[in-house]
Amino acid sequence: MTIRVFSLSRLHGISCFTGFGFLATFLELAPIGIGADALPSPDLLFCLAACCALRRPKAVPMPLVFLLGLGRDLLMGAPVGIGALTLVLTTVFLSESRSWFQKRTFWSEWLCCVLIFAATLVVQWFLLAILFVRPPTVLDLVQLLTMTATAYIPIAILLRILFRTNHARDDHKSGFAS
Amino acid sequence: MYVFADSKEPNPTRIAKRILLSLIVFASFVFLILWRTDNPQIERLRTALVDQLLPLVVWVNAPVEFSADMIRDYRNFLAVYDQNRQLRRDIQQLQALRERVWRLEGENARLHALNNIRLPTHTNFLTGRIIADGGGPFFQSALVDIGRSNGVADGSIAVDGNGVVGRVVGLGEHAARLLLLTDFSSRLPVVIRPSGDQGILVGDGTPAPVIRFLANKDRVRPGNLVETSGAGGLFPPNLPVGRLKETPDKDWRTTLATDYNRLEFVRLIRYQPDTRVDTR
Repeated sequence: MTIRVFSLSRLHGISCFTGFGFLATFLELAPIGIGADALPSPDLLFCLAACCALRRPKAVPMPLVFLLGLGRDLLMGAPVGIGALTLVLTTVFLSESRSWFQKRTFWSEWLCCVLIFAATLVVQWFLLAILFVRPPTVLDLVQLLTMTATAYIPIAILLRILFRTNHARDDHKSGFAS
Repeated sequence: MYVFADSKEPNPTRIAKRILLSLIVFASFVFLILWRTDNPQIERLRTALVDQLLPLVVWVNAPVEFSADMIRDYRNFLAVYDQNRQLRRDIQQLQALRERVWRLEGENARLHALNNIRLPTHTNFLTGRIIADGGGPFFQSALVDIGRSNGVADGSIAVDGNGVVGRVVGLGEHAARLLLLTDFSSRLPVVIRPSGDQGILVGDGTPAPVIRFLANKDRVRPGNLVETSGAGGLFPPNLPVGRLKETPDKDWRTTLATDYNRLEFVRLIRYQPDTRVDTR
């Protein structure tokens, strides 16, 4: 078995993902609305990881996604590990099913990602309930889902502008490369 | 999950990926269980990370905060005439009250002296700026830019100009994490004025936390003042928390005095209750 050395373009992709991952986490932390009646911040890290997993799966290695998710959980005062776990599972699922997404339009991709995010919220909700932590109300989760679904579109556009990564099916010429 | 799997990937790589995924899932559950069992290492890890990344968080969030401040200022500008009228009315009322307060303060001090009452000796505070918030529905917390090196103590209560905001649950060298009163795990001993009934303010993720263990529900009325009771000696007594309100399902809730949407600075109160035993 040969040991594969990271190519420069892959390292570039990984470092870009790491930088944007930190940026997404910090932006989520911005004290725009505090308290129970404020709208939740969109899950920008999910949007970024999903976009990259579909376009450049090799730029989102599992351990890095886990560390970013764990860092986010720790910084935000969230239940530690739960966000990292769902983020890793989502990224793995999306990168594994990339060939299926390549045949679909951007809006199908968006809808699938929204549904997957809803599924991760349900998983988090159940995990908290099992651990006897009072989970948030359905209304709060719907708000988070809506905010994240809305944020997914500009993040995909931003990645396209910055790195010329288009929709999953025709992005092989991108500089945000694998 | 493997319905769509890329068949071009060599078998050893796929096996390695599966092993890695299993390890990550295992590690996540370990972290989750450690968090749930309130392992101090988790809070230490959290505060260490916050300390390390604090300058970066402040730097990245500066433009976002600037934009949010601009929007807030614009809203304030739109309401400036109404606010001005309200402030003039308040000033008139306060001027009338001031004379009365001075008189009562003097009377109170004389009565304290007569009864040899000992007041809490050491209560001072530190002011910090909110630099980050939890931002999610699963948790309601905020980060303040002062920590242990500034003299903040774990468990300190945080107040703003209107009332109690929350308390410190995680303490780093240069930052502290506040658990807001609205968080699911927040509990605060309170007293209702004027009846004097005590209860526990329990956060439930809503803007108006519920009051549990209220001894005599018949004696309290909507609009009654809710203050910290100081029970347990962790928090100073008589800090305003909010006003009581009754819900249609006969629960007593508190409309919080503090406005979380306008929260920028908080005061972290260092409180040392008087535990001396009077031997006379």
